[in-house]
Amino acid sequence: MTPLATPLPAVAFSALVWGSVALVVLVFCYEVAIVFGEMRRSGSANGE
Amino acid sequence: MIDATTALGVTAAVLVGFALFGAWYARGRINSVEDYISARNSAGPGTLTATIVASSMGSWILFSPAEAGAAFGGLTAVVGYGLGSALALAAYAVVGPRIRTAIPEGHSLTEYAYARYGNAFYAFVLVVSLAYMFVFLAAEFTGIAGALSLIAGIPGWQTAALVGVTVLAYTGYGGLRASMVTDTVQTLLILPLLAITFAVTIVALGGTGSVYGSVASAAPNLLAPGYLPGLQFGVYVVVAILGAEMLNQAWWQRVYAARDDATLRRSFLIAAVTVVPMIVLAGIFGLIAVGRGLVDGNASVSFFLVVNDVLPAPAVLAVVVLAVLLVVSSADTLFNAIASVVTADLPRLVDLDDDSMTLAARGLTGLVALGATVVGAQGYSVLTLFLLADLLAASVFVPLYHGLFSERAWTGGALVAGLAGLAVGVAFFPPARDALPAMGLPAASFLRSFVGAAAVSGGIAVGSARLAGRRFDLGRLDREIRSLDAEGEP
Repeated sequence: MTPLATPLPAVAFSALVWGSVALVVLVFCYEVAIVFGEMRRSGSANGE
Repeated sequence: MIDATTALGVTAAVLVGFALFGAWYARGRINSVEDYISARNSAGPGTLTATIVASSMGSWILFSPAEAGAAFGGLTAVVGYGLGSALALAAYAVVGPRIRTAIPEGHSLTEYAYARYGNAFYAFVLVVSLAYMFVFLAAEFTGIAGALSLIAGIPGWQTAALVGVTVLAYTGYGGLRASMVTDTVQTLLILPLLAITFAVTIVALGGTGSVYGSVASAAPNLLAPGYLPGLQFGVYVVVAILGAEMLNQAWWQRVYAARDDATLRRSFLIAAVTVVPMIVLAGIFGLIAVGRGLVDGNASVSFFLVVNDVLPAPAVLAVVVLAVLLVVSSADTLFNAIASVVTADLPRLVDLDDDSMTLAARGLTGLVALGATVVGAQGYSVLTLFLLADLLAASVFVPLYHGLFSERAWTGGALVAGLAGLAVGVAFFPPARDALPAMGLPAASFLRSFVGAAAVSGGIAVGSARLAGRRFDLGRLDREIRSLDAEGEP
Protein backbone atom coordinates (compact mmCIF):
# COMPACT_ATOMS: atom_id res chain seq x y z
CA MET A 1 0.00 0.00 0.00
CA THR A 2 1.36 3.45 -0.91
CA PRO A 3 1.54 6.13 1.80
CA LEU A 4 -1.29 7.94 0.03
CA ALA A 5 -3.44 4.84 0.41
CA THR A 6 -3.12 4.70 4.19
CA PRO A 7 -6.50 3.96 5.73
CA LEU A 8 -8.36 6.71 7.48
CA PRO A 9 -7.86 6.43 11.29
CA ALA A 10 -10.68 4.63 13.07
CA VAL A 11 -11.60 7.73 15.03
CA ALA A 12 -11.99 9.76 11.80
CA PHE A 13 -14.18 7.01 10.32
CA SER A 14 -16.33 7.07 13.43
CA ALA A 15 -16.58 10.88 13.27
CA LEU A 16 -17.61 10.69 9.59
CA VAL A 17 -20.30 8.11 10.33
CA TRP A 18 -21.86 9.75 13.39
CA GLY A 19 -21.32 13.25 12.04
CA SER A 20 -23.33 12.29 8.96
CA VAL A 21 -26.11 10.82 11.09
CA ALA A 22 -26.14 13.98 13.24
CA LEU A 23 -26.30 16.23 10.18
CA VAL A 24 -29.26 14.30 8.75
CA VAL A 25 -31.05 14.57 12.12
CA LEU A 26 -30.23 18.30 12.31
CA VAL A 27 -31.67 18.96 8.85
CA PHE A 28 -34.75 16.94 9.79
CA CYS A 29 -35.31 19.13 12.88
CA TYR A 30 -34.80 22.28 10.78
CA GLU A 31 -37.24 21.04 8.16
CA VAL A 32 -39.91 20.12 10.73
CA ALA A 33 -39.64 23.54 12.37
CA ILE A 34 -39.70 25.54 9.16
CA VAL A 35 -42.39 23.50 7.36
CA PHE A 36 -44.75 23.65 10.32
CA GLY A 37 -44.00 27.38 10.64
CA GLU A 38 -45.02 27.85 7.01
CA MET A 39 -48.19 25.81 7.54
CA ARG A 40 -49.11 27.91 10.60
CA ARG A 41 -48.55 31.18 8.73
CA SER A 42 -50.52 29.87 5.77
CA GLY A 43 -53.38 28.89 8.13
CA SER A 44 -53.35 32.38 9.73
CA ALA A 45 -53.38 34.05 6.33
CA ASN A 46 -56.45 32.02 5.40
CA GLY A 47 -58.20 33.23 8.56
CA GLU A 48 -58.30 29.82 10.23
CA MET B 1 -36.35 -12.18 3.77
CA ILE B 2 -39.74 -10.77 4.78
CA ASP B 3 -42.85 -12.23 3.18
CA ALA B 4 -44.11 -10.79 -0.10
CA THR B 5 -47.69 -10.19 1.03
CA THR B 6 -46.64 -8.03 3.97
CA ALA B 7 -44.14 -6.06 1.89
CA LEU B 8 -46.62 -5.55 -0.93
CA GLY B 9 -49.32 -4.51 1.54
CA VAL B 10 -47.08 -1.94 3.20
CA THR B 11 -45.93 -0.65 -0.20
CA ALA B 12 -49.50 -0.32 -1.43
CA ALA B 13 -50.59 1.45 1.79
CA VAL B 14 -47.79 4.02 1.48
CA LEU B 15 -48.44 4.60 -2.22
CA VAL B 16 -52.22 4.90 -1.92
CA GLY B 17 -51.81 7.22 1.05
CA PHE B 18 -49.66 9.60 -0.98
CA ALA B 19 -51.93 9.34 -4.02
CA LEU B 20 -54.93 10.40 -1.92
CA PHE B 21 -53.00 13.16 -0.17
CA GLY B 22 -51.58 14.57 -3.42
CA ALA B 23 -54.96 14.49 -5.17
CA TRP B 24 -56.70 16.08 -2.16
CA TYR B 25 -54.18 18.91 -2.04
CA ALA B 26 -54.41 19.62 -5.77
CA ARG B 27 -58.23 19.72 -5.79
CA GLY B 28 -59.37 23.13 -7.05
CA ARG B 29 -55.80 24.41 -7.52
CA ILE B 30 -55.25 23.38 -11.15
CA ASN B 31 -57.15 25.84 -13.32
CA SER B 32 -54.78 26.13 -16.26
CA VAL B 33 -51.79 24.46 -17.86
CA GLU B 34 -49.63 27.12 -16.18
CA ASP B 35 -50.85 25.83 -12.77
CA TYR B 36 -50.13 22.28 -13.87
CA ILE B 37 -46.48 22.65 -14.88
CA SER B 38 -45.36 25.59 -12.76
CA ALA B 39 -45.94 26.74 -9.22
CA ARG B 40 -44.47 30.17 -9.77
CA ASN B 41 -43.28 32.11 -6.69
CA SER B 42 -45.30 29.88 -4.37
CA ALA B 43 -42.83 27.86 -2.26
CA GLY B 44 -41.27 29.05 0.99
CA PRO B 45 -37.89 27.76 2.23
CA GLY B 46 -39.29 24.71 4.06
CA THR B 47 -41.33 23.41 1.14
CA LEU B 48 -38.68 24.26 -1.43
CA THR B 49 -35.82 22.64 0.49
CA ALA B 50 -37.93 19.54 1.09
CA THR B 51 -38.98 19.17 -2.54
CA ILE B 52 -35.37 19.61 -3.73
CA VAL B 53 -34.10 16.98 -1.28
CA ALA B 54 -36.93 14.56 -2.10
CA SER B 55 -36.59 15.01 -5.86
CA SER B 56 -32.83 14.60 -5.77
CA MET B 57 -32.77 11.56 -3.49
CA GLY B 58 -34.34 8.68 -5.38
CA SER B 59 -34.07 4.97 -4.72
CA TRP B 60 -30.74 5.23 -6.58
CA ILE B 61 -29.10 6.28 -3.30
CA LEU B 62 -29.70 2.74 -2.03
CA PHE B 63 -27.79 1.32 -5.02
CA SER B 64 -25.15 3.54 -6.64
CA PRO B 65 -23.32 5.02 -3.60
CA ALA B 66 -23.00 1.60 -1.98
CA GLU B 67 -21.75 0.17 -5.28
CA ALA B 68 -19.25 3.03 -5.55
CA GLY B 69 -18.08 2.29 -2.02
CA ALA B 70 -17.76 -1.45 -2.58
CA ALA B 71 -16.46 -1.60 -6.14
CA PHE B 72 -15.28 1.78 -7.45
CA GLY B 73 -13.03 3.22 -4.79
CA GLY B 74 -14.29 3.00 -1.22
CA LEU B 75 -14.84 5.94 1.04
CA THR B 76 -13.24 8.49 -1.32
CA ALA B 77 -15.58 7.48 -4.13
CA VAL B 78 -18.57 7.73 -1.79
CA VAL B 79 -17.58 11.20 -0.59
CA GLY B 80 -16.97 12.25 -4.24
CA TYR B 81 -20.46 11.01 -5.09
CA GLY B 82 -21.90 13.10 -2.29
CA LEU B 83 -19.93 16.19 -3.26
CA GLY B 84 -20.89 15.82 -6.94
CA SER B 85 -24.57 15.69 -6.04
CA ALA B 86 -24.17 18.65 -3.70
CA LEU B 87 -22.26 20.73 -6.23
CA ALA B 88 -25.02 20.32 -8.81
CA LEU B 89 -27.61 21.66 -6.36
CA ALA B 90 -25.32 24.44 -5.14
CA ALA B 91 -24.82 25.50 -8.78
CA TYR B 92 -28.54 26.32 -8.96
CA ALA B 93 -28.11 28.71 -6.04
CA VAL B 94 -25.90 30.68 -8.46
CA VAL B 95 -27.64 30.22 -11.83
CA GLY B 96 -31.20 30.08 -10.42
CA PRO B 97 -31.53 33.81 -9.66
CA ARG B 98 -30.05 34.56 -13.08
CA ILE B 99 -32.66 32.32 -14.74
CA ARG B 100 -35.46 34.11 -12.88
CA THR B 101 -34.12 37.54 -13.78
CA ALA B 102 -33.39 36.83 -17.45
CA ILE B 103 -36.58 34.82 -18.13
CA PRO B 104 -39.12 35.74 -15.45
CA GLU B 105 -42.04 34.00 -17.19
CA GLY B 106 -40.17 30.93 -18.38
CA HIS B 107 -40.87 27.27 -17.69
CA SER B 108 -38.19 25.04 -19.13
CA LEU B 109 -34.56 24.87 -20.13
CA THR B 110 -35.47 23.81 -23.67
CA GLU B 111 -37.62 26.90 -24.07
CA TYR B 112 -34.56 28.93 -23.11
CA ALA B 113 -32.26 26.91 -25.42
CA TYR B 114 -34.58 27.62 -28.37
CA ALA B 115 -34.84 31.35 -27.68
CA ARG B 116 -31.11 31.74 -27.06
CA TYR B 117 -29.54 29.46 -29.67
CA GLY B 118 -32.23 28.40 -32.17
CA ASN B 119 -33.44 25.07 -33.56
CA ALA B 120 -30.30 22.93 -33.79
CA PHE B 121 -29.03 23.56 -30.28
CA TYR B 122 -32.57 23.29 -28.94
CA ALA B 123 -32.89 19.83 -30.50
CA PHE B 124 -29.58 18.78 -28.94
CA VAL B 125 -30.62 19.99 -25.48
CA LEU B 126 -34.12 18.50 -25.82
CA VAL B 127 -32.76 15.05 -26.67
CA VAL B 128 -30.14 15.10 -23.91
CA SER B 129 -32.51 16.43 -21.26
CA LEU B 130 -35.32 13.99 -22.08
CA ALA B 131 -32.86 11.08 -22.34
CA TYR B 132 -31.31 11.87 -18.98
CA MET B 133 -34.61 12.29 -17.18
CA PHE B 134 -36.16 9.17 -18.71
CA VAL B 135 -33.10 7.04 -17.92
CA PHE B 136 -33.18 8.42 -14.36
CA LEU B 137 -36.86 7.48 -14.13
CA ALA B 138 -36.35 4.03 -15.63
CA ALA B 139 -33.46 3.46 -13.22
CA GLU B 140 -35.74 4.38 -10.32
CA PHE B 141 -38.37 1.86 -11.39
CA THR B 142 -35.76 -0.79 -12.11
CA GLY B 143 -34.19 -0.12 -8.72
CA ILE B 144 -37.34 -0.39 -6.64
CA ALA B 145 -38.49 -3.48 -8.56
CA GLY B 146 -35.09 -5.10 -7.95
CA ALA B 147 -35.01 -4.06 -4.29
CA LEU B 148 -38.42 -5.48 -3.41
CA SER B 149 -37.64 -8.63 -5.35
CA LEU B 150 -34.45 -9.07 -3.31
CA ILE B 151 -35.96 -8.22 0.08
CA ALA B 152 -39.38 -9.84 -0.25
CA GLY B 153 -39.46 -11.84 -3.49
CA ILE B 154 -42.08 -9.58 -5.09
CA PRO B 155 -42.10 -9.94 -8.91
CA GLY B 156 -40.66 -6.82 -10.57
CA TRP B 157 -43.72 -6.12 -12.72
CA GLN B 158 -45.99 -5.95 -9.66
CA THR B 159 -43.84 -3.36 -7.94
CA ALA B 160 -43.33 -1.30 -11.11
CA ALA B 161 -47.05 -1.35 -11.93
CA LEU B 162 -48.08 -0.42 -8.39
CA VAL B 163 -45.66 2.51 -8.25
CA GLY B 164 -46.48 3.65 -11.80
CA VAL B 165 -50.27 3.64 -11.34
CA THR B 166 -50.38 5.33 -7.93
CA VAL B 167 -47.81 8.03 -8.69
CA LEU B 168 -49.58 8.72 -11.99
CA ALA B 169 -52.90 9.02 -10.15
CA TYR B 170 -51.87 12.10 -8.20
CA THR B 171 -49.21 13.57 -10.51
CA GLY B 172 -51.44 13.23 -13.56
CA TYR B 173 -54.23 15.00 -11.71
CA GLY B 174 -52.35 17.56 -9.60
CA GLY B 175 -49.18 18.21 -11.61
CA LEU B 176 -46.24 20.02 -10.05
CA ARG B 177 -48.17 21.27 -7.02
CA ALA B 178 -49.16 17.72 -6.00
CA SER B 179 -45.59 16.59 -6.55
CA MET B 180 -44.18 19.35 -4.35
CA VAL B 181 -46.57 18.91 -1.44
CA THR B 182 -46.04 15.14 -1.33
CA ASP B 183 -42.28 15.72 -1.59
CA THR B 184 -42.45 17.78 1.59
CA VAL B 185 -44.05 14.97 3.59
CA GLN B 186 -41.77 12.39 1.99
CA THR B 187 -38.66 14.32 3.05
CA LEU B 188 -39.92 14.50 6.61
CA LEU B 189 -40.18 10.69 6.56
CA ILE B 190 -37.07 9.88 4.52
CA LEU B 191 -34.59 11.79 6.70
CA PRO B 192 -35.38 10.07 10.01
CA LEU B 193 -35.87 6.67 8.36
CA LEU B 194 -32.42 6.86 6.77
CA ALA B 195 -30.77 8.03 10.00
CA ILE B 196 -32.51 5.33 12.07
CA THR B 197 -31.81 2.55 9.54
CA PHE B 198 -28.16 3.44 9.50
CA ALA B 199 -27.80 3.88 13.28
CA VAL B 200 -29.59 0.57 13.97
CA THR B 201 -27.38 -1.21 11.45
CA ILE B 202 -24.18 0.16 12.99
CA VAL B 203 -25.32 -0.74 16.51
CA ALA B 204 -26.34 -4.23 15.36
CA LEU B 205 -22.86 -4.67 13.89
CA GLY B 206 -21.19 -3.78 17.20
CA GLY B 207 -20.44 -0.10 16.58
CA THR B 208 -18.19 1.85 14.23
CA GLY B 209 -15.03 0.27 15.70
CA SER B 210 -16.23 -3.17 14.72
CA VAL B 211 -17.28 -2.02 11.23
CA TYR B 212 -13.94 -0.28 10.72
CA GLY B 213 -12.06 -3.39 11.86
CA SER B 214 -13.89 -5.69 9.44
CA VAL B 215 -13.36 -3.36 6.44
CA ALA B 216 -9.73 -2.68 7.40
CA SER B 217 -8.96 -6.38 7.44
CA ALA B 218 -10.93 -7.27 4.27
CA ALA B 219 -10.07 -4.29 2.01
CA PRO B 220 -8.06 -1.54 3.73
CA ASN B 221 -7.78 0.47 0.48
CA LEU B 222 -11.49 1.20 0.68
CA LEU B 223 -10.83 3.24 3.82
CA ALA B 224 -7.91 5.18 2.33
CA PRO B 225 -8.60 8.81 1.38
CA GLY B 226 -5.75 8.70 -1.16
CA TYR B 227 -6.85 5.49 -2.91
CA LEU B 228 -6.32 6.33 -6.59
CA PRO B 229 -9.37 4.59 -8.14
CA GLY B 230 -11.49 6.30 -5.50
CA LEU B 231 -10.01 9.71 -6.28
CA GLN B 232 -10.50 9.22 -10.03
CA PHE B 233 -14.10 8.13 -9.52
CA GLY B 234 -14.64 11.06 -7.17
CA VAL B 235 -13.49 13.54 -9.83
CA TYR B 236 -15.39 12.19 -12.82
CA VAL B 237 -18.58 11.57 -10.91
CA VAL B 238 -18.58 15.25 -9.92
CA VAL B 239 -18.43 16.31 -13.60
CA ALA B 240 -20.94 13.64 -14.66
CA ILE B 241 -23.53 14.55 -12.03
CA LEU B 242 -23.03 18.29 -12.42
CA GLY B 243 -23.52 18.12 -16.19
CA ALA B 244 -26.56 15.87 -16.00
CA GLU B 245 -28.30 17.81 -13.26
CA MET B 246 -27.80 21.07 -15.11
CA LEU B 247 -30.06 19.56 -17.79
CA ASN B 248 -32.65 18.31 -15.33
CA GLN B 249 -35.89 20.18 -15.92
CA ALA B 250 -37.05 19.41 -12.37
CA TRP B 251 -34.64 22.04 -11.06
CA TRP B 252 -35.82 24.72 -13.50
CA GLN B 253 -39.36 24.10 -12.28
CA ARG B 254 -38.23 24.55 -8.67
CA VAL B 255 -36.19 27.65 -9.52
CA TYR B 256 -39.46 29.24 -10.66
CA ALA B 257 -41.44 27.77 -7.76
CA ALA B 258 -39.28 29.60 -5.18
CA ARG B 259 -41.07 32.47 -3.45
CA ASP B 260 -38.11 34.78 -4.16
CA ASP B 261 -34.39 34.73 -4.94
CA ALA B 262 -33.33 34.53 -1.29
CA THR B 263 -35.55 31.48 -0.74
CA LEU B 264 -34.14 29.90 -3.88
CA ARG B 265 -30.50 30.37 -2.81
CA ARG B 266 -31.08 29.25 0.76
CA SER B 267 -33.10 26.17 -0.20
CA PHE B 268 -30.73 24.89 -2.88
CA LEU B 269 -27.74 25.41 -0.56
CA ILE B 270 -29.38 23.65 2.40
CA ALA B 271 -30.43 20.79 0.11
CA ALA B 272 -26.83 20.60 -1.15
CA VAL B 273 -25.55 20.25 2.40
CA THR B 274 -28.24 17.65 3.17
CA VAL B 275 -27.53 15.26 0.32
CA VAL B 276 -23.86 14.78 1.26
CA PRO B 277 -24.42 12.89 4.55
CA MET B 278 -27.36 10.98 3.00
CA ILE B 279 -25.15 9.65 0.21
CA VAL B 280 -22.22 9.01 2.54
CA LEU B 281 -24.41 6.95 4.89
CA ALA B 282 -25.88 4.97 2.01
CA GLY B 283 -22.41 4.49 0.52
CA ILE B 284 -20.92 3.12 3.74
CA PHE B 285 -23.26 0.14 3.36
CA GLY B 286 -21.03 -0.85 0.44
CA LEU B 287 -17.98 -0.91 2.69
CA ILE B 288 -19.89 -2.85 5.34
CA ALA B 289 -20.91 -5.42 2.72
CA VAL B 290 -17.28 -5.89 1.67
CA GLY B 291 -16.17 -6.14 5.30
CA ARG B 292 -18.70 -8.90 5.92
CA GLY B 293 -17.77 -10.78 2.74
CA LEU B 294 -21.21 -10.33 1.18
CA VAL B 295 -20.07 -8.85 -2.16
CA ASP B 296 -19.42 -11.27 -4.98
CA GLY B 297 -19.99 -9.51 -8.29
CA ASN B 298 -23.19 -7.99 -6.94
CA ALA B 299 -21.92 -4.71 -5.49
CA SER B 300 -24.92 -2.75 -6.77
CA VAL B 301 -27.18 -4.43 -4.20
CA SER B 302 -24.72 -4.07 -1.31
CA PHE B 303 -27.17 -1.98 0.71
CA PHE B 304 -29.81 -4.70 0.61
CA LEU B 305 -27.32 -7.50 1.22
CA VAL B 306 -26.39 -5.80 4.51
CA VAL B 307 -30.02 -5.10 5.38
CA ASN B 308 -31.01 -8.73 4.83
CA ASP B 309 -27.95 -9.96 6.70
CA VAL B 310 -28.11 -7.73 9.76
CA LEU B 311 -31.52 -6.24 10.42
CA PRO B 312 -34.55 -7.93 12.03
CA ALA B 313 -37.79 -8.22 10.01
CA PRO B 314 -39.51 -5.06 11.36
CA ALA B 315 -36.45 -2.99 10.48
CA VAL B 316 -36.37 -4.54 6.99
CA LEU B 317 -39.98 -3.45 6.58
CA ALA B 318 -38.89 0.10 7.50
CA VAL B 319 -36.28 -0.14 4.73
CA VAL B 320 -39.05 -1.14 2.30
CA VAL B 321 -40.96 2.00 3.29
CA LEU B 322 -37.79 4.07 2.90
CA ALA B 323 -37.14 2.65 -0.59
CA VAL B 324 -40.75 3.27 -1.65
CA LEU B 325 -40.66 6.86 -0.36
CA LEU B 326 -37.41 7.48 -2.21
CA VAL B 327 -38.73 6.19 -5.52
CA VAL B 328 -42.07 7.98 -5.24
CA SER B 329 -40.44 11.29 -4.33
CA SER B 330 -38.30 11.36 -7.45
CA ALA B 331 -40.75 9.58 -9.81
CA ASP B 332 -43.51 12.17 -9.33
CA THR B 333 -40.96 14.93 -9.94
CA LEU B 334 -39.71 13.32 -13.15
CA PHE B 335 -43.20 12.52 -14.48
CA ASN B 336 -44.10 16.18 -14.28
CA ALA B 337 -40.70 17.46 -15.39
CA ILE B 338 -40.71 15.38 -18.59
CA ALA B 339 -44.32 16.33 -19.35
CA SER B 340 -43.56 20.01 -18.73
CA VAL B 341 -40.62 20.11 -21.17
CA VAL B 342 -42.87 18.99 -24.01
CA THR B 343 -45.88 21.00 -22.86
CA ALA B 344 -43.93 24.26 -22.70
CA ASP B 345 -42.90 23.76 -26.33
CA LEU B 346 -46.40 22.88 -27.60
CA PRO B 347 -47.60 26.44 -28.30
CA ARG B 348 -44.85 26.80 -30.91
CA LEU B 349 -45.94 23.64 -32.68
CA VAL B 350 -49.74 23.53 -32.46
CA ASP B 351 -52.54 25.94 -31.72
CA LEU B 352 -54.34 24.63 -28.62
CA ASP B 353 -56.60 26.29 -26.09
CA ASP B 354 -55.75 26.08 -22.39
CA ASP B 355 -58.00 23.11 -21.63
CA SER B 356 -56.48 21.13 -24.49
CA MET B 357 -52.98 22.05 -23.30
CA THR B 358 -53.76 20.81 -19.78
CA LEU B 359 -55.22 17.63 -21.24
CA ALA B 360 -52.11 17.18 -23.39
CA ALA B 361 -49.86 17.67 -20.34
CA ARG B 362 -51.84 15.03 -18.43
CA GLY B 363 -51.72 12.68 -21.41
CA LEU B 364 -47.94 13.12 -21.64
CA THR B 365 -47.60 12.37 -17.93
CA GLY B 366 -49.53 9.14 -18.52
CA LEU B 367 -47.28 8.17 -21.43
CA VAL B 368 -44.15 8.81 -19.36
CA ALA B 369 -45.57 6.71 -16.51
CA LEU B 370 -46.41 3.85 -18.88
CA GLY B 371 -42.94 3.91 -20.43
CA ALA B 372 -41.17 3.96 -17.06
CA THR B 373 -43.34 1.13 -15.73
CA VAL B 374 -42.71 -1.11 -18.74
CA VAL B 375 -38.95 -0.44 -18.81
CA GLY B 376 -38.65 -0.71 -15.01
CA ALA B 377 -40.33 -4.12 -14.95
CA GLN B 378 -37.73 -5.58 -17.34
CA GLY B 379 -34.82 -5.42 -14.89
CA TYR B 380 -32.38 -4.01 -17.47
CA SER B 381 -28.97 -2.77 -16.43
CA VAL B 382 -29.29 0.97 -16.87
CA LEU B 383 -25.79 1.91 -15.78
CA THR B 384 -24.40 2.23 -19.33
CA LEU B 385 -27.41 4.26 -20.42
CA PHE B 386 -26.96 6.51 -17.39
CA LEU B 387 -23.30 7.03 -18.22
CA LEU B 388 -24.14 7.79 -21.85
CA ALA B 389 -26.75 10.37 -20.82
CA ASP B 390 -24.19 11.86 -18.40
CA LEU B 391 -21.65 12.11 -21.24
CA LEU B 392 -24.11 13.88 -23.55
CA ALA B 393 -24.92 16.32 -20.75
CA ALA B 394 -21.25 16.90 -19.89
CA SER B 395 -20.63 18.02 -23.47
CA VAL B 396 -23.46 20.53 -23.62
CA PHE B 397 -24.06 22.10 -20.21
CA VAL B 398 -21.27 24.71 -20.28
CA PRO B 399 -22.25 26.21 -23.68
CA LEU B 400 -25.91 26.11 -22.62
CA TYR B 401 -25.42 28.12 -19.43
CA HIS B 402 -22.70 30.34 -20.88
CA GLY B 403 -25.39 31.87 -23.06
CA LEU B 404 -27.40 32.85 -20.02
CA PHE B 405 -24.62 35.06 -18.70
CA SER B 406 -22.71 36.18 -21.81
CA GLU B 407 -24.19 38.18 -24.65
CA ARG B 408 -21.14 37.21 -26.72
CA ALA B 409 -22.07 33.51 -26.78
CA TRP B 410 -23.39 32.60 -30.22
CA THR B 411 -25.18 29.68 -31.84
CA GLY B 412 -22.36 28.47 -34.09
CA GLY B 413 -19.82 28.56 -31.27
CA ALA B 414 -22.16 26.72 -28.89
CA LEU B 415 -22.94 24.03 -31.47
CA VAL B 416 -19.30 23.44 -32.35
CA ALA B 417 -18.43 23.40 -28.64
CA GLY B 418 -21.10 20.80 -27.90
CA LEU B 419 -20.14 18.57 -30.83
CA ALA B 420 -16.39 18.83 -30.13
CA GLY B 421 -16.98 18.04 -26.45
CA LEU B 422 -19.07 15.06 -27.45
CA ALA B 423 -16.41 13.81 -29.89
CA VAL B 424 -13.72 13.96 -27.21
CA GLY B 425 -16.01 12.36 -24.65
CA VAL B 426 -16.96 9.49 -26.98
CA ALA B 427 -13.30 8.92 -27.97
CA PHE B 428 -12.43 8.24 -24.32
CA PHE B 429 -15.74 6.65 -23.28
CA PRO B 430 -14.87 3.05 -22.29
CA PRO B 431 -18.06 1.40 -23.63
CA ALA B 432 -17.51 3.12 -27.02
CA ARG B 433 -13.79 2.46 -27.40
CA ASP B 434 -14.20 -1.08 -28.79
CA ALA B 435 -16.53 0.20 -31.51
CA LEU B 436 -14.11 2.91 -32.64
CA PRO B 437 -11.17 2.46 -35.04
CA ALA B 438 -7.72 2.42 -33.42
CA MET B 439 -6.56 6.04 -33.31
CA GLY B 440 -3.48 5.78 -31.09
CA LEU B 441 -5.26 7.65 -28.31
CA PRO B 442 -4.42 7.26 -24.61
CA ALA B 443 -6.42 4.59 -22.80
CA ALA B 444 -10.14 5.19 -22.45
CA SER B 445 -11.43 6.07 -19.01
CA PHE B 446 -14.52 7.72 -17.60
CA LEU B 447 -12.31 10.37 -16.01
CA ARG B 448 -10.82 11.38 -19.40
CA SER B 449 -14.18 11.08 -21.10
CA PHE B 450 -16.26 13.29 -18.77
CA VAL B 451 -13.58 15.82 -17.87
CA GLY B 452 -12.46 16.02 -21.53
CA ALA B 453 -16.03 16.56 -22.79
CA ALA B 454 -16.75 19.33 -20.27
CA ALA B 455 -13.35 21.05 -20.64
CA VAL B 456 -13.30 20.99 -24.45
CA SER B 457 -16.90 22.15 -24.86
CA GLY B 458 -16.45 24.84 -22.20
CA GLY B 459 -13.16 26.05 -23.68
CA ILE B 460 -14.54 26.27 -27.21
CA ALA B 461 -17.77 27.94 -26.08
CA VAL B 462 -15.94 30.66 -24.16
CA GLY B 463 -13.09 31.03 -26.68
CA SER B 464 -15.36 31.24 -29.73
CA ALA B 465 -17.53 33.83 -28.00
CA ARG B 466 -14.52 36.06 -27.41
CA LEU B 467 -13.19 35.63 -30.95
CA ALA B 468 -16.44 36.00 -32.89
CA GLY B 469 -17.26 39.42 -31.48
CA ARG B 470 -21.03 38.92 -31.86
CA ARG B 471 -23.65 40.31 -29.50
CA PHE B 472 -26.99 38.82 -28.49
CA ASP B 473 -29.55 41.03 -26.77
CA LEU B 474 -30.27 39.00 -23.62
CA GLY B 475 -33.42 41.10 -23.10
CA ARG B 476 -34.94 39.12 -25.99
CA LEU B 477 -35.26 36.09 -23.69
CA ASP B 478 -37.74 37.95 -21.49
CA ARG B 479 -39.64 39.31 -24.50
CA GLU B 480 -39.87 35.99 -26.36
CA ILE B 481 -40.60 33.59 -23.48
CA ARG B 482 -43.99 34.31 -21.96
CA SER B 483 -46.36 32.68 -19.51
CA LEU B 484 -48.56 30.05 -21.17
CA ASP B 485 -51.59 31.90 -19.79
CA ALA B 486 -50.43 34.93 -21.78
CA GLU B 487 -50.21 33.05 -25.10
CA GLY B 488 -52.17 34.88 -27.75
CA GLU B 489 -52.35 38.09 -25.71
CA PRO B 490 -51.08 41.20 -27.49
